[in-house]
Amino acid sequence: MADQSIPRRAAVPGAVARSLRAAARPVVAIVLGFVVSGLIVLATGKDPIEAGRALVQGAVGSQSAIAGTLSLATPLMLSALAFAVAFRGSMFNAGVEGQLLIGAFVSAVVGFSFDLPPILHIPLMLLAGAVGGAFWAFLPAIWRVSLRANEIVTTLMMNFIASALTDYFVLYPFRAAGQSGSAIKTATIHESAYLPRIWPPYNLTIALPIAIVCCVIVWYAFRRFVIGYEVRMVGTAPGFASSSGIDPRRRQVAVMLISGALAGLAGASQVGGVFHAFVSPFASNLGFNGVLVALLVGNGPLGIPPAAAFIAALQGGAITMELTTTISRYIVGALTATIIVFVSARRFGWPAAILARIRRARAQQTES
Amino acid sequence: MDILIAALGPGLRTASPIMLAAFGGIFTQRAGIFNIALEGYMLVGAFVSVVATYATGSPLVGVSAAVAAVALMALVMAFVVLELGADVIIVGIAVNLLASALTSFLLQVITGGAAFLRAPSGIPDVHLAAVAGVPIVGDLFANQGILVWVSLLLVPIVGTTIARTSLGLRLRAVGEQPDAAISSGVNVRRIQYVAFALCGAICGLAGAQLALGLLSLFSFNMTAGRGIIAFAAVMFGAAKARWVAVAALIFGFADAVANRMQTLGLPVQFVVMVPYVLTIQVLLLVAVPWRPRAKRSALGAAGQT
Amino acid sequence: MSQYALRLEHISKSFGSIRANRDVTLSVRPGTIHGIVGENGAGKTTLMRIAYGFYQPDQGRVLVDDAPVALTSPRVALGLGIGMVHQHSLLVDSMTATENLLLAVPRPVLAIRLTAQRLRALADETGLMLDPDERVRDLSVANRQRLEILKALYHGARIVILDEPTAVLTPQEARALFEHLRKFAADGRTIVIITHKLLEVMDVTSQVSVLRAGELVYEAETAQTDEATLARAMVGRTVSLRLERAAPAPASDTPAAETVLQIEGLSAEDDHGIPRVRSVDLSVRAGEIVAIAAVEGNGQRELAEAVSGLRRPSAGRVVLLGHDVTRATPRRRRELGMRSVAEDRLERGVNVTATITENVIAGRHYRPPFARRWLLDLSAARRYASDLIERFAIVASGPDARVGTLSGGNIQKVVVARELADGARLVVAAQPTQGVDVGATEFIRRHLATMRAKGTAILLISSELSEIVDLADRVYVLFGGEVVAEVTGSEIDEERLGLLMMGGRRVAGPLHPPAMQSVTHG
Repeated sequence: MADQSIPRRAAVPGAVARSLRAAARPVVAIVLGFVVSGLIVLATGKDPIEAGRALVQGAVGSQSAIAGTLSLATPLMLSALAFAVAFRGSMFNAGVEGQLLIGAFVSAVVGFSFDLPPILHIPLMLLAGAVGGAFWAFLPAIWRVSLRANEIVTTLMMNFIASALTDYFVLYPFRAAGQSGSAIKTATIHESAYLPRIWPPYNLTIALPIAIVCCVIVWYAFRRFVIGYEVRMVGTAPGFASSSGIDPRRRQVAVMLISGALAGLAGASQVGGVFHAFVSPFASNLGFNGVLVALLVGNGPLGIPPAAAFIAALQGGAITMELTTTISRYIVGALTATIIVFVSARRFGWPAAILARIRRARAQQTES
Repeated sequence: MDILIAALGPGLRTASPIMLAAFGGIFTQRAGIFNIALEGYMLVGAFVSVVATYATGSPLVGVSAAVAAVALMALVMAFVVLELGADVIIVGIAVNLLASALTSFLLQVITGGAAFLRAPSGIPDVHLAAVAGVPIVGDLFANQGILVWVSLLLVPIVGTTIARTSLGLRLRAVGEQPDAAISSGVNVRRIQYVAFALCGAICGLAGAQLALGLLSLFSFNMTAGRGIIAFAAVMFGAAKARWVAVAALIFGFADAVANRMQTLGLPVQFVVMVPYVLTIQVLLLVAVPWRPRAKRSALGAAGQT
Repeated sequence: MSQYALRLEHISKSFGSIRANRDVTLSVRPGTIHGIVGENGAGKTTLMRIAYGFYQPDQGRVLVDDAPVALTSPRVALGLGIGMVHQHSLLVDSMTATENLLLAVPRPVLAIRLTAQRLRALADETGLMLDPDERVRDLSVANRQRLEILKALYHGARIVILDEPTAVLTPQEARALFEHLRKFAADGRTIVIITHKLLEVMDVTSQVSVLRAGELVYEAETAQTDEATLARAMVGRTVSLRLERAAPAPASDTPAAETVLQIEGLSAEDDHGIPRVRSVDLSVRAGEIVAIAAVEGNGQRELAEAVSGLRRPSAGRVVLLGHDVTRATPRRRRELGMRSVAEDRLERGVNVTATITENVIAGRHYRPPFARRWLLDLSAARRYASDLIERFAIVASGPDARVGTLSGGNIQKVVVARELADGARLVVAAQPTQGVDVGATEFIRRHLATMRAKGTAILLISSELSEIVDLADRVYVLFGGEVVAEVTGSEIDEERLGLLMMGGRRVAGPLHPPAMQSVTHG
């Protein structure tokens, strides 16, 4: 039975097949999503082909479009990774949005309060963002493990608290002088904290490679690190983990801290690379879109960068599409939502499910 | 103090859509379904009610259309969750996104790009001349829309349904111990569908109250997190109709007070936080392990509400 | 009158790759008590769940009163007058007895008061006393079972199926139950009782069918068969059901043997904060198997969890090899040489989604040779897993096989391999053979005996009294969370333990069961 020579090699084709199958699901879902939203566009009397062309044009049609898409994808990668890390450790972090806000705000404060050489200032600012986000995730984590308070609800609530809190700070104690209008800012951060660009003149910063490296590190850590193994065991079988001497609560707090830190880093990257201040309202829905990206690839860290680029391309392309075809950009939201629904449907053979139900109903009828 | 009294009437009004949506949430929560799609349900309800009223001129048609449309939408979600095996939270997130995107998209299609659509008429108020002069009571009840009264009436109706009817019993059994329910001959699937449909129908009402009852218009993402607040109210009240109503009222009043303060130029953020902070508070208190007795009796009381 | 109250014809049923039932044909005559016996995993429960509409058969059909029926759900079965009493009661904990009864009433508005009155009347009539307004979570295990029986009767069940009804009862409670069953049969009801206890079969049934590995292998009138024949049919070969006892473990006889585990004044509460373990003192020496005998729900679970570090005691001390580990983490206890075989195998014993390799390194994964600092050595882990698969004869495709794909017996072997392969000083084994096939059971018992011979201290928690009698050198009887008796050596026998488990110490006089007083509730 236990053939010593087989296992190691035999695992490889299996793994390839598994990852192929894992990749097939989002691809099918994306195709279905495009079909559904194409039909919606068609129903409103517009040309879906033309819409698609404009979408692609806006997303990757020029160097500046590509740079814009990648820039948009950067915080998405980090927030998606934040969600995925927590999810693997059996924590549903619905509070990425709030952690991102707090991280962004804290990093902005560090950005404009200190004047340091860039080599110190940039890491310090990013670190501050990570710490801020981690703190905001720490509270729900500790409530969960010590008081058993459902973390989905508490993280969700913490989003709104973070938003109100940062609103207050930016409107009152930290408001930069001489502003009016709807977008309120803090003071601008020092130039020493600006993230360096990697593809001038486009606004694509070192945040992109940082985000990709984070994804790779997390992927490797899950496979080979002791802590990664422990988190996987806690995530899939908490009772087993605890009786094996792996305290699930500590690992859960740990994953939430990492998750919050990544979310905070996403916020800091927006402050250091895009806005150069904390603005209110802050970039909309980065946290929630990150969740969507993570869900799209089943929380696999290596799938996150391409998935984030894909969602970013949709969002970036949508604006161009709206300008050139007058089709509302909101259709992209509908597209994304449809894709998520299709991806999350575990039983893809749903026509079979319907048939089975009909058959069951018939059986019940004949018997009564 | 004046701010508080002045906020009474508007508070009840702002509370009513939250209360209705939360009542919808009670049904899914009791059936063991963690439904965060209340937000999306409400938004679609608001949209459909305004569009139908706009098309027919009748708010009654608007409200009915909202109820029917959202119930249908909830059934589709139920299908995805129950038959296709999708995770209910993930689908909930997707439904909220879909509702926001689709209503915004259709709003632009219908209006040709405007930011809102006005309904020709809203839900009429009930004027109670008898209490108009009475302090506080008058402030509260003298001029309220029909759906405000419906939401108040639903407190005992929902409570009794959960506690004393066959449907309520089955909902609780399905939510708590599905195996026991099956063994008693309960069709778990069907009960879950019913829970979704009821939740959708009442959330449709909530959306209609928000759009037709309060503002007589639909605008982009007009629920603005009220569905999440309603979800919080369900958590706050442990899915017991009375306590859910209390939560919705507190949240509604907080909202109304915040609005008053804003017009006076005061910082409102800390009032805005109230519902969320309170909900976390309650969750922490209920969950505290060194008060296990309290937890047990709270759960026990769940059967009686 | 119909020829058969219940007849199953050519029933086959598979779950994935496991064939639970294979072409089983079984007939039950009206007004009889029919026993279905077989070992754990022989397919008894599956077969009866098909008769109750819980599962649909892949092949075959069910006849009630000689007419074929489509049992698409328990609702249909209830309508046809079939009721089932499950081994672990399927009731809604937060609801009252009456509300649980009403769940099966398909009427939109409920007459709660009236139903409670009727339930009370039915309880009076049958002698199954029960308070209709009590919540299920406050009922004792025996009373929950009583409620399930009442529920079946209330809904007019003419055929009542009981799945291992005595597993959670003391022998005395079991006897009272059998009295009721005889009465029901005399009233013309048909009773089907699933069990693997042959004494019960001989005692109460009039017909008996034996299942082995999903197939019907033997049928007889009870009066015309005997235990030995049934045992042979169950196992498929002649067996002595007893593990031959090695000479009493030498270590336990010499008082000098080292005390490995010492528990002093230990108290613990359950998840609801209810005290379950009350001031327990006990000790286990090297080379000794000490058993805890108790009816389910008398604190043995909490005790095991407190010893293995999964539950914080409310008072008292746990001393392991001279170290006070009362507040130590499970990891620290493992490092001191404690191993535990958990009762909830699929919850705590293994991670079914993980590979055998990932399962067997758990608990030692952070130390060499499986880890260098914070990096895992996956090839060392895989080699270790392959080695254990061989040593413990685990049937699997290899170390990368997911544990969820293994059979129940092999899953338990993975647990045993992980916990017992290396130098354990103390083993806490909770229900180590529950639901495990004969072969694996024998293997596990032998392994425990071997470890005792090598000087390991073993704390065995088991609801199989025969297992305790076969293995234990000393037995502590736990009742209501207290140690009510300590029994050693030749005094260990099932009847004595059974009585003590029911709190028999408080009954004055010789060792015979108190008259059928277990009918009162509480």
